[in-house]
Parts: sequence; C-alpha cells; structure tokens
Amino acid sequence: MRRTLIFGLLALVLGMGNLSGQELVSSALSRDTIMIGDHVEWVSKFNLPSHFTLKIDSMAGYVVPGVELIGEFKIDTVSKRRGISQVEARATLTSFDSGSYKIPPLVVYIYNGEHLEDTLRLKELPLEVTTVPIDTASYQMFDLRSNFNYPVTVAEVAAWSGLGLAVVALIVLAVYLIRRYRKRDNPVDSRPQKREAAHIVALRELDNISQEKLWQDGKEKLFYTKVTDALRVYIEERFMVKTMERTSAEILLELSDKELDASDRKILEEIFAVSDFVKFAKYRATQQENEETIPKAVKFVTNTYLRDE
Amino acid sequence: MDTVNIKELNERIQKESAFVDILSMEISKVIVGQKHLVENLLIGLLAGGHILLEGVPGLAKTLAINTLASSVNADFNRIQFTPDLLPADVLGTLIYSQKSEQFQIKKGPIFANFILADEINRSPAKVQSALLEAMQEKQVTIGDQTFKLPEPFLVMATQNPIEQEGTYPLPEAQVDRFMLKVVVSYPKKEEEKLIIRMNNSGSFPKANAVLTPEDIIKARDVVKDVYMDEKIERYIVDIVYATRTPEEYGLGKLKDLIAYGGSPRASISLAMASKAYAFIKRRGYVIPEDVRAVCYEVLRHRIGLTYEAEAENITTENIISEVLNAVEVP
Repeated sequence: MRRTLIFGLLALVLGMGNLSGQELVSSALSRDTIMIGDHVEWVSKFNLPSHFTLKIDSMAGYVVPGVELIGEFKIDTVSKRRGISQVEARATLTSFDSGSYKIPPLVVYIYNGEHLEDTLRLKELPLEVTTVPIDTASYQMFDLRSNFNYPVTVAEVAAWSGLGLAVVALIVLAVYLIRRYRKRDNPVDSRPQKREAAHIVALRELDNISQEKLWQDGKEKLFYTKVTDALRVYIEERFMVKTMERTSAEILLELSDKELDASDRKILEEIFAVSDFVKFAKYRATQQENEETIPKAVKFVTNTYLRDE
Repeated sequence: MDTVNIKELNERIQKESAFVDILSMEISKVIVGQKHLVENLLIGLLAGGHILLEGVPGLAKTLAINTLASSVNADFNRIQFTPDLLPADVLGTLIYSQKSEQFQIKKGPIFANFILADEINRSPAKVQSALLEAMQEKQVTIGDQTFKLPEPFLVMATQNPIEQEGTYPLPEAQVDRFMLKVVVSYPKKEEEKLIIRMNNSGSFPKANAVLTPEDIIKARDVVKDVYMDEKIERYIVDIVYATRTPEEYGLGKLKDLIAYGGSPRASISLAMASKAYAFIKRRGYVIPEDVRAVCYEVLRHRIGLTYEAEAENITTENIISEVLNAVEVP
C-alpha cells in the first residue's frame, strides 16, 4: 500500500517534472576533462516531495583508484515549490594521475521520516585527466623541490624572541655597568686637561718652602728634603729623566747628555751636595748655605725651564 | 739635636781608611783587574761578613784571597771540598796519642784568619753545616772543648755555576749566612793580555804584608762608627721589603716571580756592607749610592725565585734592578 503511494507520488512529481521540463534526478561534473591536480565539481540534483530527505552513501577517499573525493558531500535544499523540494548534492573531485576514469554511480537513499523509502543509483560519469605536455625539444630536468616551509607563527617565535631580547638587555646593562665602573675607577675627564708647566709648579713649591721658614725653625733636614724633592720633580718633568728613584750622582750623570749649561749644572751640584750632607751626614749647614739654597734653586728653574720657541 | 761635624768625621775616616788604598795597591800588584772582586773582599773584611764567590774556574778567586791574606799578614788555609770530606776534616778532631796515652786535640784547617772553602757545593750537607755553623758562631767545639776562631775571620767560599752534577747546593738558610755573593766575571781583553805577560815573565809578583790583623779589627770598629741616617735605614728597609711584598711598591708584576724575599739578616748585611763601602770610599756617612752599590751582592742570594721566573729566565739581578728602580731614594 505504502509502496504504491510512493510510486504514485513519484509519478505525480515525474508528471509535474515533465510538465515543467525538469528532470527528477540529474548528476553531472562541471567539466569532463581536467588537468592533473585540478578540481572538478560533481553536482547531483533531486526533486523530491518536501517531507522526503535523502542521504548519500558516504564515499570517503578514492572514488575510483586515481580519483579522489575532497571533503564530504554537501547537501542543500535549493528551492521548495508546490510541495516539491529541489535538493542539490555537491562534491569536489580531483585526480593526481592522468587517464580516463568513470566516476561510479552515486548511491542515494530516500527517507520518509525515519523510513527508507527507496535507493537510487545514478549513472556513471566519465572524467578525462590530462597531464602537462612535455616539450621534448627544450626538455630540461629540474631537481626535486625542497620541502615547503610553512611560515612561522608568532606563538612559535614569541618565547625565543623574548629570550633574545633579555640577552640583549643583559649585554647592554653589562656594558653600561663596566663603563660606569671604569669611569669611577679612572675619574680623569676624557677631555684634555690643561697641565701646569713644570717650572710653574716648581717655583710655587719653592715659594711655599721659603714661606714655611723651615731652616729658621731648626728643621734643616726637612727643608733640604723638600727643596731637593721639588727640584727632582721639576727635572723629571723638564728633562724627562727619572729622578725620584735615583741618587743625586745618578741624576747628575743622566743630565750630562741633556742641554744644561755648566753654570746651571754647578748650581744643581751645590744644592745636591749640601742637601746630601744635611740629609745623610747630620751636617748643620751654615746660615749662608741655608739662605742661598732657595734663590739657587729658583735660579736653576728659571734658567732651565722650557721656553716657547 | 745631636750633631756631627762632617768635617771632623770625614777627616777621621780619611785618616783611618788610608790603609785601604795601600791594601788595594798591594793586591793589584798580583791580581790584574777584578776590581769588583777585590772591592767586595775588602767590604767583607771590614764589615765582618763572609763571601760566597760564584765563577768559573781560573778567575783568580784563590789567588785573590791568598794575596789578601799575604797583604794582611794573616793565616790563610784552603779547604778543597770533596764528596768524601768529613766535618772533622774541617773543624778538627781528637786523636789518641799512644805516647801520652791520651786523646789530643788536632785543630782543623778552619783555624785561620782567611779560609778559602773551594767548591763548597761538592761536599755533603753535614760538612757544609759544620763550616757554616763555625762561620756564624765564630767558635768550634772539639770534644768537650770550645775554641774561638781567630779574628779577623773571613770565609770565602766558591761554587762553580756550570757544573751541577754530583753537587750539593747550599740550602737557602745557609746561603743567607754569607754577607755577600759575588759573581766573578772574566777579565777584560787588555787585562788578560797583562795576565799572560805576568805569567810568562817567570817572576810572578808577590804581595807584601802591609797590615796586621789588629789593623783590620781596629778598622772594623771605625766602620761601625760610620754614620747612617734614619733616612738611609728606611731606604734599606724599603728595598728589602720590596723583595718581600713587591705589590706595595708598585711592583705587582714581581709578585709571582719571587718565592721569598730578603730576611732581616739581609737588612743587617745591607746596612753593614753600605757602611763598609762608605768607609772604602773614605766617607764618614752612608749615602744612597753606597746602598745601591752593594745591593746586588747582598741580595742576589737571598731572593728566592719561583718556577715562573726560572721559566722566563728572570734572575735575581733582574728583580733587584726592578726594586732599585721602584723604591724612592731619600
């Protein structure tokens, strides 16, 4: 009874279809010839009573060896009119092997609610897959392509970027601290500083010694030590002779090949001789020797200082 | 302030040290060149310090001390140190006399004013110790009797720097007992020519006795009177300290090169040798030049070098030069 009803309905739809010039079921490929790897749309259309549903037999993977179904069938109701629904089933096919194929018949199950009313097997479809023609005249062999590198995502590089930035920050901090430490260790300003001329320093020092009135207070040894020290510092600066670690005789010997007048050399010898006597031999210099020492030292400095040419 | 009349002091030293020139002249009649050696012999003689001589054979080491002994009219003994030498061979021993049926004391060759301990490093430590103890104490005990050694008593020990096999190098503690270590070098060409002539002439000159041992003892007392200022004392201490803690004197680079620095005995010897040198130069007071003049001889055997220094061929003379160039002269 039920079967009779369905055939009656299908006959009605068929009759209406005939009336409107529409097929009840159709299945076609968007192209019958494709290049290897190309996609082709497989579209099947069904005109069914509105309360009928359909289900396509799932065909995952290869439809036939050499042809591949990409994704699932997408079933959609395109229109509904006078109790008849037009349902469309779409799928995408591709092939990676050239040749002639026959897409096997599509199997469609028609349901009335939960009840399977009928099973339809649609016609086979031809598909021609062509390959790239090889120009044998200018044939050139190419190497295999290397693996395709997918672009790196931000999430993947975020951790490494953070680590890199931290290392750079540490290096910058270390350089800053080292520079600061060196600057503190050597607080000398990098700008050239004006140095006082050796004779200016020596004359000021001799003047200070004179004002301290050391020999007048009985501090003769200190007086001669200070005078000879001032002269040694001056000679070291002026004549580039190491003096602080040299004895009087050694200083005079090293000065022998420097430009020094005999009179100035004599002055220096006299000062050093008296100073060595006082410093090392408990010698008490005469008042005249004490009085003459500073003027002699000043004379030596003023006679020998380096003049601008 | 306790003052010293420099004129008076110098006059006294001039008078007392007059023999130095005579002695030097007498020695130079026999010894050609080697002024440095003779000068250091006199320093040791006047300062009462013993001398360690280092030099290859044939540099007139024996002749120098023999001539000095002849010039001073003093006893001289030479002891050739050999591996089989015993302490008794140096100091003396008790010998049983069958005639008197008693043990008699036989004094060793150390009982003389001047001793030449030739090639001291050829004898084992027990003989070296015996000699060095006698040098330090200036007395020797044989049996149960102690004998003072004659005054002046000067030991000049030699060691050959080129032969090391079969030798017993002197331990540091014993080397320290020598006031001076003198390195004897070859004579100059002209001097060597003169030496050949003198030897070939057949009449080798002999030194006359111009002094007595008493003169030397008297001179030693005068040397002790040579004035040494506190500044010089500080300079000496600075030099010796710089060998111990060089980094305190801006010589940080020497720190890894020096195993040990000069001992307090080095400071004492440096002071005494400086005074003797000032005396020889006929001065009544010590100046920094005197200290610097004797510094190498006093310190070269008292500074220990590390392996790093030896690997870099750095000598104690290099260390002393660095120290003298860094320590401020008063």
